[in-house]
Amino acid sequence: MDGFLLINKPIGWTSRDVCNKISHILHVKRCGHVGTLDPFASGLLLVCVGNATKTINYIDHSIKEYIATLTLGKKTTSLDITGEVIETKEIPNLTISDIEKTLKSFVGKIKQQVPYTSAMHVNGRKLYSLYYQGIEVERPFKEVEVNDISLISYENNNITFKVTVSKGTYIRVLGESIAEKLGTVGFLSSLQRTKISDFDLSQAINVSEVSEEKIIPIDVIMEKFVYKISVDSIMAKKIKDGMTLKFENVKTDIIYFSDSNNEPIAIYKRKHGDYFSCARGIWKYE
Amino acid sequence: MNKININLENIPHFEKDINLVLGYFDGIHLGHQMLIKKAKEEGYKLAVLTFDKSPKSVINKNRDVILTNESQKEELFKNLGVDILLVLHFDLKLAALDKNQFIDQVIKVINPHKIFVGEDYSFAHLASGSANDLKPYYNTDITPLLSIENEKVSTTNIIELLKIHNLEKANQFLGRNFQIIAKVIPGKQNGRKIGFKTANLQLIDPFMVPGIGVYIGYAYIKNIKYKAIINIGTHPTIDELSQPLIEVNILDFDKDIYNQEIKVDFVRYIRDEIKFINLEKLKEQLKKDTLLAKNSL
Repeated sequence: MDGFLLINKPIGWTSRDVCNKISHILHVKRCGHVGTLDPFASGLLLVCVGNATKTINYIDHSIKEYIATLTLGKKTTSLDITGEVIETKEIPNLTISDIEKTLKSFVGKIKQQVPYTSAMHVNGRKLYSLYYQGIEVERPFKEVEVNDISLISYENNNITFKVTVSKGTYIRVLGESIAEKLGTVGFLSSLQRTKISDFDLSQAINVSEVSEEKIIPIDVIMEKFVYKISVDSIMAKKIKDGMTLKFENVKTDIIYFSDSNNEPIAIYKRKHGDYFSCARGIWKYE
Repeated sequence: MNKININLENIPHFEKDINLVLGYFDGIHLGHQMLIKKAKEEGYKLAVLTFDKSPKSVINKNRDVILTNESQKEELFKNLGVDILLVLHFDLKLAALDKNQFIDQVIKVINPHKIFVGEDYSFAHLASGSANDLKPYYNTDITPLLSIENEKVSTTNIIELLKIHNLEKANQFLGRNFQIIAKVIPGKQNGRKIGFKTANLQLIDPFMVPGIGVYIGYAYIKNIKYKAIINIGTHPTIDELSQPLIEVNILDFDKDIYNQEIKVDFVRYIRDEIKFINLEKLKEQLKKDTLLAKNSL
């Protein structure tokens, strides 16, 4: 049983909870998720089953869309609704156009300070484990990209906005920065992921609806995320043997190979120049 | 779930260690689901005995419409927790068995702990056997038919509801969206000319086709779900066809999928098939339909 599922993650579940439940329903050992959604967030989660788990590192670079609500006037430890309030600040009188202008100012490449709850490694340790042990470290900065951001509503000190971002953008930190720029503090009171690449939340199913028959073949998802080349059986053999291959005119650094029946074979990575070598074999053993 | 195709010669035998549910179960609607869930509750392994063909279609020699095909039934049974699915080959020989022969040659061979049937269950030649005929031999649980708002939840009623476009109620009775499975075939490509690509469907099994008109729902291609507009009709504006066609416009999808399998969920009936005075008016209406599908699904 190999493939993907588009899941609508409920609030309160960790992304791992979703995978655990799915491996239980499907009786599979290997089940993982592409990109994490925090417990307080809901929405679209791409889940991999069986051999599809091998592709996780190669498809997590896609554009994602979120709808977030930023509550102004209070700051929490985690920057979201699950944390404790550590600061309150007066909210200035804001017009819709003030907020719209501020939101738009974040479009483009921006530097973000990684939150304490991140799994990013600092001095060889995960940032969150250092944080929970009370070891103080400087939160590192990371460059991310906001493709688009727009206001949906502003009511009772809550700003609801839609944002499209590239990989690794912390929406919580974006919320913190927006509040700061508006002259106050804030935390995310809700977050919903509505898109991953071309896939929309309306295409997702609930965890309770999961069954073997609903699994999306590896090839169908891979060709949406990674440059695909279909090869004949002679080439397929070479790829399975792990041969380094030369491809001219390939613009991406990652290639996904499938055979003529659209069965996945392997993922190759650019080694140097036009040469690509095997990063991961994903064919099914007979 | 273990699925076993059987005939009169190779019926499996059990040691009264399974609960057995009997029926043809076309549609596996809420009534069927209630019956199966009840049988599941007792903790015994759960087996369902059904037929590979609808008895009506074999006896009357006409192709009966169906609400669910074999693969859908299998998936639904599995999700309901059925452990063993016994699919008995139905032919005229089996149909000729009288009720005592059916009990001796089928039920007693299986030898279940307990039998579960619906109130309207009948079996054997000319449907002469009823649930009460099983009682002398096995502990038999008879579940009364399910009614919702004084209407009987039955396959026949669901077919009637689909004919009159009442998808809301048909789907309520089914406990899910009504779904057909088809293959995409080349059509007349009239849709392309007005910038509205549709997939023409050829049913892979004799599914019930809802009444003529326009519906919104979902299309599944390789298990990916898309919002869709479904037209069942004769193309009165372009050039009228003799047989109704099933066409699906898949939202945000622009690939050729000829010969691929497609599953289509019907969610709601939105309008009649109207003859428009010109293509412009038709285009306008299609825009409205698309917007409706986008926003209300």
